[in-house]
Amino acid sequence: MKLRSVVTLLIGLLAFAVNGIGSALAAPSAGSAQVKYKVLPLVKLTVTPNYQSGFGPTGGSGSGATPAPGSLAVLDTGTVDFGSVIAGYQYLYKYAASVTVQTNDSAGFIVYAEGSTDFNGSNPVPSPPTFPISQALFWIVSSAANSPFSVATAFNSTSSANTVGGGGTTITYAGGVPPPSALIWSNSTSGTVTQGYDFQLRLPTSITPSTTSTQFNVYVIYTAVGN
Amino acid sequence: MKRAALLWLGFLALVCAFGGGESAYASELNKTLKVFTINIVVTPSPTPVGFIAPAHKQPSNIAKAEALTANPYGGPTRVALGPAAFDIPMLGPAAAPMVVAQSSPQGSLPVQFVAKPDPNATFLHFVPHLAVLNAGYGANSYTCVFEIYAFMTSTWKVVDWGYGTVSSGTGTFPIENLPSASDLSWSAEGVSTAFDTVYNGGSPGEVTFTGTANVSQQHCIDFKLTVPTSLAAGTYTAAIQYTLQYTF
Repeated sequence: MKLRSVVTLLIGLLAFAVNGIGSALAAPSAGSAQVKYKVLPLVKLTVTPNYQSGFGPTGGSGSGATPAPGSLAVLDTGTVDFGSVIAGYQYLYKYAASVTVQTNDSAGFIVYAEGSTDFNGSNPVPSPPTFPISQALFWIVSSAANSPFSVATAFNSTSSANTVGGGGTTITYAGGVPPPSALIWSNSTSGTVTQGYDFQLRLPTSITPSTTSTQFNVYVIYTAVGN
Repeated sequence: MKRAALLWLGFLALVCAFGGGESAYASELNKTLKVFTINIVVTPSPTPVGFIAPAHKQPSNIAKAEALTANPYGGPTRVALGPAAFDIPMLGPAAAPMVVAQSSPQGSLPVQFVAKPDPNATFLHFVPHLAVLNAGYGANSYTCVFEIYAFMTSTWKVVDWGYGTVSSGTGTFPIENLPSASDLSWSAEGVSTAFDTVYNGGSPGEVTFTGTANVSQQHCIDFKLTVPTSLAAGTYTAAIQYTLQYTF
């Protein structure tokens, strides 16, 4: 009986000890964590179509037709609408878009531009239904000396996913930055700066059938990134 | 006699007016013209320097990730953020040094046009094959950059010159302007195997190829381009005007 009491006591002490050790292990301990963060600079982008009086297409020399802005082209808004153009000829769209960037990044910013797709044909849908934007639409910084044959850089169709929503078309880039081939403007200062762009349209004869007119549409997406 | 002379003068004036002042002879008229334009991208030789993402995942990182998944508490002590940016290297073929939520503002610009058929395509048009000419410093060759199709119901010829060039002036790479020589040469396949520098002295230009009445021709145009080492890398444009002239 005495021995049984002693064993019971020992078991109780053992249970208390184990429980105490467990409680000690579960007790909160203090530590430290170093958190590093970077405050992203403010970058604000504004793209204004048809930004100056006198906007619209010129060129088509030899086609026998004089180009004029389409009905969707409106001063400071709307669409860069070349109107009716003749296949096989080239055009310059004056004052197509102005790009304004406001940033507090002392290192400045970079602006990229890409087509959300290739040109999509409609009314009627041609075969093939699209035409490569890189072979038809070119950009050049606005200048009085520009012509349909001036040195200009092609827009490319994006290889990233794009979304059409209520706010317009957007492109989601992996890593948040468009490819270097889409760069159209690099500026190394902070502040608010604006640059104007003309567009060139270079059309092959084959872009539309010999008996039918075809409409083509695309969205050019501009992205501003702080340096 | 006086009346006959006036009629003759009037006839000559009519020919000049329709010829646009560009005909080499009074009996030749311009039917139509087109300008072939192509971009030339000059990159430093021998190869453009670029960063190409590896085609496969990095094995060492995969092994670390798999070991971590199998035993999250194994291995050396880990801290939330050590001296390095990441205690666990990022995975994937295009792992950026840092990933942030896209905060770059975007703006979309709609562009449209209505392409109408080319009314002159029956007589003169191009069939493009190369969209851009990639060039290194030194000599470059391009086969069948584009084709020229021409047709007329009377004897005809196609003439060309560098767009915007004049008999003497200053120009830019690659076509330049007389008296400087063009850096771009051409050859019409099936017509000649010789390469001629693109004429850069304006009208009346040089003969590209000729044809007889009611017989069309279509020829590939090959280019050779010499890029001087003094030229900065970048994008340039070559524009060549082709005019279909016919005899009446």
